[in-house]
Amino acid sequence: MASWTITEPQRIDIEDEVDRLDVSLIAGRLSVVGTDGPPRVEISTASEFRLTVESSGGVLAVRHDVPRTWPGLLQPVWWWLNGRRRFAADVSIAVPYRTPTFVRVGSGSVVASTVHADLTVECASGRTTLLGVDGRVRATVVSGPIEALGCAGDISLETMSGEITLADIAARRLSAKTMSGALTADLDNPPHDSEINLETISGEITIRVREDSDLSVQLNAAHGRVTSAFPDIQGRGRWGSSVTGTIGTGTGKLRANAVGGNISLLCRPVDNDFAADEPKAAEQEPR
Amino acid sequence: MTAVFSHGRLRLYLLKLLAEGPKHGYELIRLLENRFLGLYAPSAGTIYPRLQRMEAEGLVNHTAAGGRKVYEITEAGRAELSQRAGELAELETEIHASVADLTTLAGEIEQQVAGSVRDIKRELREAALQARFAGRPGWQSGRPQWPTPPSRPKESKEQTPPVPPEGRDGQAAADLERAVGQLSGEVHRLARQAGVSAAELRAATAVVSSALTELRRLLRG
Repeated sequence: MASWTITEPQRIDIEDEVDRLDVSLIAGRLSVVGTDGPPRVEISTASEFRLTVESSGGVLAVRHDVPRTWPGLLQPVWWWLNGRRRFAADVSIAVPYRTPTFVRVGSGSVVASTVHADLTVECASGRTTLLGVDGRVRATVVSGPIEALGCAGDISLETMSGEITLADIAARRLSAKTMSGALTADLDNPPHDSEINLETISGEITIRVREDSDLSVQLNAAHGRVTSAFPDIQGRGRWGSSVTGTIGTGTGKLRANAVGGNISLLCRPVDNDFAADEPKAAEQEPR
Repeated sequence: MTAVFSHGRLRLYLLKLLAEGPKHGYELIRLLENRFLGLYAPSAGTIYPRLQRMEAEGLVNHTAAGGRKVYEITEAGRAELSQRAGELAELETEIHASVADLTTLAGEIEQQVAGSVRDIKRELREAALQARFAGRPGWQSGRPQWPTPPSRPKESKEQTPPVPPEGRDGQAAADLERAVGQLSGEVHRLARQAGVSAAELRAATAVVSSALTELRRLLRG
C-alpha cells in the first residue's frame, strides 16, 4: 500500500502491480494510456485542492478529496465559486494494456487509448476521446461530444447533448445514443454477426458499413428522409420513412432511429484480396 | 509520439511505403502498425478505399501477382511525394518522438483523433449527399442543379463508371472504365495545380457535368 498527496506537478512510478484503475476527478484533463511499460502517474498541473494517488491491493486510485463546503443551501454557491477553477488538474496515467479502468470526471476532457479491457467513462461535461480501445467500453456523457477511432469489442456510448463520431470501428456490438447531436459512424464491422444500434432524437445519422456485410437493416426516420447506397434498401416517400431490408445474408443487425433528422446508409468498398490476406480471416473460415 | 494521423497524412505515408518498393495490402497494414509501436493498426477497410482513390487519381496502380493485388507507385505518385517531402519529414519526427511524456502524448492523441474524425465526417457527408441525389433519376432535369464543389471536380465523375450488364462486350466496358479513371486522375491533377482560379474551376465543373448528362443520355438509352 502506497499513497501520495499531490500539491504540485509530480511524476509517480508505481511499483506495485496494478490490475484495476479507478479515477475520480472533479475537474480537469485526464488521460489514460495502455502501455507495456510499468504503471505511472503524471500530474502536470496540480489543483488547489488535494489530489490523492493510492495504490493498494492491485487497485490504483486517483481522486480528488471532497472538501468541506458551506452548509446547506449555500453549498451550490460554494461549488459555483470554487468548483471548476480550483479543482482543475491535469493528470495522465499509464497502465498495462489489460487493466480494467473506471473513470469519472465532473467537468473536463477524457482521453483513453489502447486500453484492452473493460473501460467505463462517466463525464458530466466535456469531450471524450477514445483511441484503439478494445473490450467492454461504456461511456456516458451528459454534455459534450464523444469521438472514437480504431476501437473494437463491445461499445456502448451515450450523450445527452453532443455529437458522437466514430471512425474505423470494428466492434461486434455497438450502441450509440444521443439526444441532440449528429451521429456519424464509419464501421469496419465484422461482416457476419455484428449488432449495431444507433439512436438520436434531433440529429442526423450517417452510417457507413462494409459492402460485404450481412445485416438485417431497420432504419426509422420519424421526420426525416432515409437514403441508402445499397440498392436493396431504398426509402419510399419523402418524409417520415421507415425502411427495412437485408444486406447479404442478414445474420447481423443494424437498427437506426432518428426522430428529427435524416438517416444515410453508405457503403464501404472492401477488397477481397485484403481480407484473404489476413490470418484472422483464414482462421475463421472453417466455420 | 503520434498515434494516428489525419487521412491526408495517412495517404502520404502510404505513398512513402510504396516508394520503398511494391507491396500488397496486408503488408502495408503490418508496416503501418510497426511504425506506430502498435498504438494504431489501421484496418483493411481503412487502407483499401484510400488505395482505391489514389489509384483513381493515378498515384498508384496495381498488378495481380499470384492472386494478390500488389500496389506500385507511379510517376505521378513520386512527384506528389517529392512535392510534400517537408511534410513527410515533419511526420517522421513526430512518429519518432518518444512516448516518455504522457501529457504531450495525451494532447496529441486528442488532436489527431479529432483531425481524423473530422476528415471522416466530411467524407461521409459528401458521400451521403451524393447518394441522396444519385438515387433519383428525375431529379436532375426537374430541379436546379446541386453545385458540385468546385475544388473537387472529380467527385461528380465517380458516379460515371457505368457497370455494364453482363453479357455485353467486356473489353469495351473495361476500356471505358480505364478512360474514366484516366480522366478522373488527370482532372484531379490539373485542379490541384497552382494558379487555377475559382472561375476556371467552376467552368471545368460545368464541362464535367454536361459530359455526365450526355453520358447518362447515351448509356441509359
